[in-house]
Amino acid sequence: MSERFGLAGLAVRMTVRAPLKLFSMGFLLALVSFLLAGVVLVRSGVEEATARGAKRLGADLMVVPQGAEVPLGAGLFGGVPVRFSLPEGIDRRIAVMPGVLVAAPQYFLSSAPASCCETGNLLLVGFDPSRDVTVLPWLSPHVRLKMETGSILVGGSVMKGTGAALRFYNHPFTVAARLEKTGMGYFDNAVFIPLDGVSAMERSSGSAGGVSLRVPWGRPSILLVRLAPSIVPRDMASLLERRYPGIKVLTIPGLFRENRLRMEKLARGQLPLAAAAWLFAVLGGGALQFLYWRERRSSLGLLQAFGCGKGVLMLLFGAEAFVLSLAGMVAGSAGAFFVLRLFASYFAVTAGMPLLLGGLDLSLSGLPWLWLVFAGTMAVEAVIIMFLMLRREPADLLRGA
Amino acid sequence: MTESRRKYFAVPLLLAVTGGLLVAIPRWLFPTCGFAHQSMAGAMMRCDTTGSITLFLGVATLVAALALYLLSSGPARSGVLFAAVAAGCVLFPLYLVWPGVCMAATMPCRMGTLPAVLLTGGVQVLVAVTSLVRSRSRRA
Repeated sequence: MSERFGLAGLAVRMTVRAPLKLFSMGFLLALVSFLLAGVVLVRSGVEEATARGAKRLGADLMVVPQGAEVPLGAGLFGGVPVRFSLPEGIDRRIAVMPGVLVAAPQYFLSSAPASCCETGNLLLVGFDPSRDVTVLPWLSPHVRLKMETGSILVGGSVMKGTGAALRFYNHPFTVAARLEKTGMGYFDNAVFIPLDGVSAMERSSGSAGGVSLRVPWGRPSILLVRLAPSIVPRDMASLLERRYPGIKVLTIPGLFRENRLRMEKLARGQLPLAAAAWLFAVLGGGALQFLYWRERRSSLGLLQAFGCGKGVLMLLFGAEAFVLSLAGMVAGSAGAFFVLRLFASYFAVTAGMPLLLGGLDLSLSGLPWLWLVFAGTMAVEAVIIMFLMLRREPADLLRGA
Repeated sequence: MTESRRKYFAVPLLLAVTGGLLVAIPRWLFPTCGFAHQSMAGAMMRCDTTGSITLFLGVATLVAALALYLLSSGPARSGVLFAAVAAGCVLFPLYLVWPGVCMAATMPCRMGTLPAVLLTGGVQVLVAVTSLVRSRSRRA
């Protein structure tokens, strides 16, 4: 702070030495911004995760057992261990159908609940590397060469780096690569094991008094189907459901339909919420500023007595309200970002929705206009309050009557 | 309540809240795996060890808050504030390095306890450091 005495310096001192105004204004705007930014971030995070997840799945259709949609959502979006099986031999029958390019089976398993939870309660996904369309296409060729029995891939949220050793059902594995985060539990929280490794793990399970594992071979949990470009996924889905009872065929947009509907609802509510928050900020901020200056009107009289004009005072405290509000809004939005980032996994598992927050700059990129509108309103309010206060003579203001 | 009393009341109150949260989070609010799944009896989980240490740090913070309320300004008060900062800072390596929490992101300790404790620890460090800086600048 400048040691020179001047009107600007005096105004800055008045602001800094008024913690009540600083905190109440900043806190009010931070609170409003926290709420608004939270909604905006959740919406953009879910949209980003949905888009990335759909792209990563690399299939046109997902075949699941009938009635498994609810546990599938928990497994796919939350990465929670789930177990279900398709009717026997369905993968072979679908693979030979005309128009089907690849039918990649995946077995959903769960690691044994261990007293030491280091490797307990993990979603293990057994996949066939020769038919995979989901995991391997996203790895660099260098990693692909290293994929051998005993090698596994882990999701971006699994706290194990490349080369780390992991043991499931008495079988040792080595982490060949860690996948990039997508915001979808299926990719982030799971461990992907080639079918050879699943078979070896099944053989070694049960030994030394451990928990035994039974894999329902021939009855995978899901089947990811890639179609020829000329085939319409929805038509093929209907055909498969008619031909093979006991299965549910989801198109990839259909898989994320529930999330999209929720996002649309959130998007529809965003504008009314912003309007309500703005109204709350206008009323709350106006009341705070008015009460503050009403108590300290003698300061205004003093400034006027020093020769500070009404216009300068209005500009000074309007600018002050603008800066305080802007700082509060930025702090609130950044707070919402960090809290959401910390609780992203909790949100994904409890809400059953994928969530991916990018960097601070990217995630908050849609908010500066909102910050400016709110801070501008606060500044206008401050100017109006100053105008009302400064209609009185400096002597009256100084007397505080 | 006098102005100075009010000033001395705010920081102990905030630290008491963070201390209380540090006690409640690993046991009740966002329990660690062992407390969340009571059926998982057996050896002590690493996250439970972390949770137990957190609980002790929470109690230490509560004691620090009480001491701050009773002490007037001076070196002893600064020492207690330093202790509160240290208790908040210790939480970060405790959860992120050793003993740490479970590997799977869907485990209760990774999903709930870790973010909640880190957030509370961050607030505690912020409150204590701000109070330290203010008390030093007031003394200068």
